[in-house]
Amino acid sequence: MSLKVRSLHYRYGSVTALADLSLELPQGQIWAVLGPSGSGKTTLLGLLAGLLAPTAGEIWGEGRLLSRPGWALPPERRRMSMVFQDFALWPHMTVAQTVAFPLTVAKVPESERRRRVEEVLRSVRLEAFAKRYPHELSGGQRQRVAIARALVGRPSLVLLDEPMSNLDARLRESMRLELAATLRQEGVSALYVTHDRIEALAIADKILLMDAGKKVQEGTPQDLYQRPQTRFAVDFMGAANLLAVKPDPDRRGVWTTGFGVRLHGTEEEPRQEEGQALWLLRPEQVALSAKAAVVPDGIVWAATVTDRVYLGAYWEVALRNPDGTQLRAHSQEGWSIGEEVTVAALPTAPWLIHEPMPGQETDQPEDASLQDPQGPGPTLLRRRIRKTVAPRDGTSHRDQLARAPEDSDSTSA
Amino acid sequence: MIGPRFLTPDPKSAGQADLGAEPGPSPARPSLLGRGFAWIGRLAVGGPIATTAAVVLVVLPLCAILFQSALPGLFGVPPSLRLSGAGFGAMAADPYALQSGLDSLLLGLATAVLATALGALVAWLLTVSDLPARRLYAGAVWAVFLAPTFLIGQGWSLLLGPGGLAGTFAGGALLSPVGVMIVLSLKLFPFATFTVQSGLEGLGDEVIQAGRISGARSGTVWRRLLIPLLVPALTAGGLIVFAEVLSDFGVAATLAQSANFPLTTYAIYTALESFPTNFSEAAAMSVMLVALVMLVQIGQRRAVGRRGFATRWGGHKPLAPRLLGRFRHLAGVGLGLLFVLALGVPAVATLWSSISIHVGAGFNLSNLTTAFYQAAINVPYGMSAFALSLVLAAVAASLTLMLGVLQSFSWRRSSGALGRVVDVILTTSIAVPGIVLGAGYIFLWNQPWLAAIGLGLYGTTVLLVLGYIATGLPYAVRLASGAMAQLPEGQISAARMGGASTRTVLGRIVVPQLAPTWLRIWLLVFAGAVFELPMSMLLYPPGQPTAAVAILHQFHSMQIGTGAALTVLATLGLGAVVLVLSGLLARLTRSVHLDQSLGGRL
Repeated sequence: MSLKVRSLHYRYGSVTALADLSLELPQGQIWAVLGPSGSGKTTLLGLLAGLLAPTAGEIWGEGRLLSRPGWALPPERRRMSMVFQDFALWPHMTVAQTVAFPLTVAKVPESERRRRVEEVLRSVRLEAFAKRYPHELSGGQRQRVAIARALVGRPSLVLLDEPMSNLDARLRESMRLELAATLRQEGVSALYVTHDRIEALAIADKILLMDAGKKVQEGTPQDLYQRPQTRFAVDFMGAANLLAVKPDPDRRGVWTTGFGVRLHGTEEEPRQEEGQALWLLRPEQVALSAKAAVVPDGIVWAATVTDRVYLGAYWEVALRNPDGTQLRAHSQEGWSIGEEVTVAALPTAPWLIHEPMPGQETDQPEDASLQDPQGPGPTLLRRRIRKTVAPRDGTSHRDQLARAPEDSDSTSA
Repeated sequence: MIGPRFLTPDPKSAGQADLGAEPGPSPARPSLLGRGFAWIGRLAVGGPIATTAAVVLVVLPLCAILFQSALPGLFGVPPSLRLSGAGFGAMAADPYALQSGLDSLLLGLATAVLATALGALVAWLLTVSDLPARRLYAGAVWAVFLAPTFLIGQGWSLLLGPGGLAGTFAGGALLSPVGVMIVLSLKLFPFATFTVQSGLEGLGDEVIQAGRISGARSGTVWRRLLIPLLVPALTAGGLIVFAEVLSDFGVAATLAQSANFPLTTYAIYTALESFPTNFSEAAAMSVMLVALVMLVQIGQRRAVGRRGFATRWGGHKPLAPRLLGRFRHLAGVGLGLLFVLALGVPAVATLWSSISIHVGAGFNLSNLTTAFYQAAINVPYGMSAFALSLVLAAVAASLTLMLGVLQSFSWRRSSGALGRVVDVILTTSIAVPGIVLGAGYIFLWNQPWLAAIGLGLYGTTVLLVLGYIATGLPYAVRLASGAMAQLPEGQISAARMGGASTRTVLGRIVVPQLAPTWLRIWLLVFAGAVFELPMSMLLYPPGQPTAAVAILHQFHSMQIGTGAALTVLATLGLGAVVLVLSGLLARLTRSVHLDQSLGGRL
């Protein structure tokens, strides 16, 4: 279904579990709600399922009002389904009985019911287990039963509540692909709640990142990973270096790191009155080369290796920048400690995060940012600083660096 | 409908491990093979001691009954191995025995139904509702559970019996099989409450959520999901109540007697005590009773053990509390009324009988007297019987605790066949009616040749203490082993690797953590033994009646006021002792969770 959520709030006692959440989920898409414990994602599920009634806001599904303050259409009348964290299988029912349950209570005729149950069981590869009870199944099989039960009634929306968290690590990996494929094959809309960023990145068309009951950012997996808008988003989506940069007082649109490397330039109106910003550089976006090697132009500087750990696929290398700040990089080579190397930043378009320093937070009402759910909050300014001549795609990072504009002042400090 | 509990802050909290990747959970029994406990080998001698005790205290008497029923001449002089069906024949030809058997069965069935309904309702209110003062009511359930049946039965007899309080206006209408059934249901419903409570606690809220999101209305959720899922708990509760009714002697010897409603346990007692004694018929009845009770127990185990019902299935979130709305206080009052009926009425009836000259004469000063209390203190077998009971119970509780602890050490160590045998013996012996065990003790120990070799325990307080140990041992072993099993092995290993000797580990790690449980076991066995009735009736030494025997004797010789006064004094006395000891316990451990630690047993 097309799901519309308008500035939803949920409070109990003095706790605000969910504040001012809006979203619009188009038919057939899979969205992930991502966030740590206590971020409000379970509350959101409860509200969507009709297990909770909002204290403010509305939920609409297929043009039908599902929830408004103090009222929720009962779960059984919402045409949704849910895959629970613990699967919530009924121990007194066989696989076939469990999967048939939604059809039985909907009074679907016997023949149709049997056909549909068989079809769904086949799609989750459980047709041979129809007569088994839950305790006779493995963890992965139980999960597939839960998925089959959620799909059998052709629900307009499938809610998934951390469906992988009870599976062991290896099973989780294979089920990730399988689950996404099954959901897409059935063509249902789905909302997938998880605290695992990898799951969210792998499964979702769009990710809704939440923290402390609020939406932090909404966007495609690429948006969230490459263009996070807050420090929280940066940290939650994966390991990152955040290097402090300051606006160049002489040249608009140019930023300087603490060790003198310049990042520039932008066509957008520079927002440098904010003062300091943070330059996001993920460890895999850092290339190291020997000091002696010829380093082409680009964002490059020299740093000293302080530590390194072999992790199989790569070396995790800790470096010290000229100004004493730390840097982490992934490298195919194991550098020796104390060695001086040349660091090159791979992204063609450095991503800056403008987040006020502690104590500088503005007190503007949060609502302002939520008029447009896609838009950034007033405190969450971001700017993309483009390297004007750098090609956007189709060339390697090295090439891009090589073709960096002459006026780039990126040098070793 | 859904409260804040739905919003567990950490969705990855406990319970998650229930559904691992391995097929099928293996619930209930923790691994007893812990290597961390191998060092306890030095205490392995405890295993054989406890095993021997279980065999002597439980298995031999049961064998004696079996032999007595089929080989009536075995214990005669000279012994004869002639097989005879005379015992069973006598039983079949004895209308009293048959009637009592039928009565017991019907009473058991009817009580099981009523008590289970009551117990389930109480469990629902206590576990899943927003009823006010739930902790208080939960404590009251335990009080009902622990109250001796014969005191309850006696209290109701005083109220309903001839010349009783209600007899004057209600015409003793309740002094009937139906009345007995109601009184027993009021006394035994806690068994069903406990099983249904644990059943409800085993259900995750997602069971209901999954049903509703699948499109089921709340009626369908009840019919298709909740009730089927609670059937094992309801069945188990009903079967336990049924077995308890069959085994009960306290009500059979008091209220049922007053109502002329013969029950099997009392028939066994009569066969043993009347002259001429009819040992083989008593043995035959005992065999039938034990067989029936064991069948019930097997049924109960199967009910609980089916399809992995023992683990929490629906998810890790407990059932969300259901709001009672405006019925909240009504339900509270109703539940309060239930406890008034279950405990208050018999207590008040007993108290009133002990202070009024004419029980039916109403409350006025001229009708009050302290004469019965003076009599209770002065009668030859009054307070001295209570004192004797205190001593015997203390001795029995100490020995039982010792055996239980020894057994718990060796149980942890081995999962061998011997351990399982002891486990089976002890779990089944919970179900053996006290009157039957007492009969077995008579058959076993009332043999002239034993006296000749210095083992003439029959007619001594020693045998009585052994009997009390036999009734307490199953609980002691269960509780002690349960506590031991909960002690993480890592704790022991850590101490060992830190260089601690066995003695240090015991003294610094094991004992401090288990001592509170041990003290509670002692209290439980002690309090149970002070008012123990069936064994005491059969085994008390001549001239040395115990508290329960002395009280019942007063009633049977129509010294109603004196009996009631004695009951009040003994109850208060025991209450004071238990209070002082548990206060001491609380000070020692700074935490009294009596109900919690005992909760594991059902």
